[in-house]
Amino acid sequence: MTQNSIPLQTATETLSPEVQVHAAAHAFAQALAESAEFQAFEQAAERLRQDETAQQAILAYQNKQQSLQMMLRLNAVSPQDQAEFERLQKGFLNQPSVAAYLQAQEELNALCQAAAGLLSERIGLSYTAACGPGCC
Amino acid sequence: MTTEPSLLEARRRVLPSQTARISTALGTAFVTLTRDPDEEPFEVFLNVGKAGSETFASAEALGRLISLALRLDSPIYRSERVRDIAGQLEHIGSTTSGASQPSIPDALAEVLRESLTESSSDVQLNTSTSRVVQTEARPKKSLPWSPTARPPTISLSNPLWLPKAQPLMKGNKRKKTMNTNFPLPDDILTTAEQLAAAILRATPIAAFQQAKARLDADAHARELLERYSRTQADLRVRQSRNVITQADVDQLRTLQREVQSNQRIMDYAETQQAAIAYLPAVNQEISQLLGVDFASLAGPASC
Repeated sequence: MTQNSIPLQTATETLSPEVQVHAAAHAFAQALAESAEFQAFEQAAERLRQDETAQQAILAYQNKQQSLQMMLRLNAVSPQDQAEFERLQKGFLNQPSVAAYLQAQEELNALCQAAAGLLSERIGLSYTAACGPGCC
Repeated sequence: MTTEPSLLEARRRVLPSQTARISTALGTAFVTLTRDPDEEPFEVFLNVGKAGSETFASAEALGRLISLALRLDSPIYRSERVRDIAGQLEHIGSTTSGASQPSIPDALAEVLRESLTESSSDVQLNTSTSRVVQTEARPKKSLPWSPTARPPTISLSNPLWLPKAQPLMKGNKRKKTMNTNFPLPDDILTTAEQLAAAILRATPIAAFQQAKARLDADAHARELLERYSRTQADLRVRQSRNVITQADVDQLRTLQREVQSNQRIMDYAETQQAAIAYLPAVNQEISQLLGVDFASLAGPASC
């Protein structure tokens, strides 16, 4: 037996609280990963990855956004640039694989929010406030 | 070896600080404010975006210039300077910013204004848009696909992706609201309940729960804390109306000292901080197996 392994007959209450959290976090993540929402999200992400037309539409939009980043910040985008920007934005949002991805993401968000909400309620602390979103 | 310009007030090796996190149109901003031993603001550090990005550089520059303005030797109180700086920064907007996601300067102004009524050892009091957080131990996001294989533009953390573009969308806005009424499948519900129960047994969380119970049972401490919160809120209102007086500030400081000398309250605040610092490690466990940052997926305004 390795040092890290836990004897199967060990009663749960003899495990340290940290080990119990580790095991419970693992089970929770497993359940989430097997959910329909997560599976749909992964499939949508894969379909989007394979969709070259959508990729090009997104890239065109992002390139424009990047080129206008400073002007957007300064609130100094010309009407022509603004119109072009919006056209490119619609261009990628109208791609079926993009729409499907965003829809899948939204459904997964809802599931995760509900789960995190339950955790927060039980432990008396906001889970998302403490942990993230660690984005950007 | 470099020496500091003589016009700048010398910096102590160690200064207490407070970090606020706030959402901005360009992502989550972390504002760290250090204070001198008199609890006057001393420096501001601003972190937004990814290291090496233009946003990150501009934010760092903004923080450095504010720190410079604060550290310059001047007869003007530094808290007054902070107020003036906040006045200069607030309401600077952009096409991508809005009420829920202000521009970086506007968000910074809000944090600076809040800081005027809080000291470094304040009890954590959340507001609707910013809160004191532990910034370390945030897990790196790993996505279900490898960074090289996945589409270069679709990323949960890509600042150029949604929802940055949302304010520009006409009639096509996607709702991003907390949804705690979403029906959870049985296995997720069960495992989430088990996880919550396990977390409650973890040392930092159990200590926090005990401190909370002691605070709840102490009527005097609760009353003091409520009075302090009310006074702080009143002061914010007076501040926004520009009718704040030295007597108001003195009253708050007196209450603040009273709060700080109350062991029950301080135990609660300290254990709360420790409990908050513990949760990112739990999130990391979940995220590693999931392949995506769970807290970002669960956040009401993830990028």
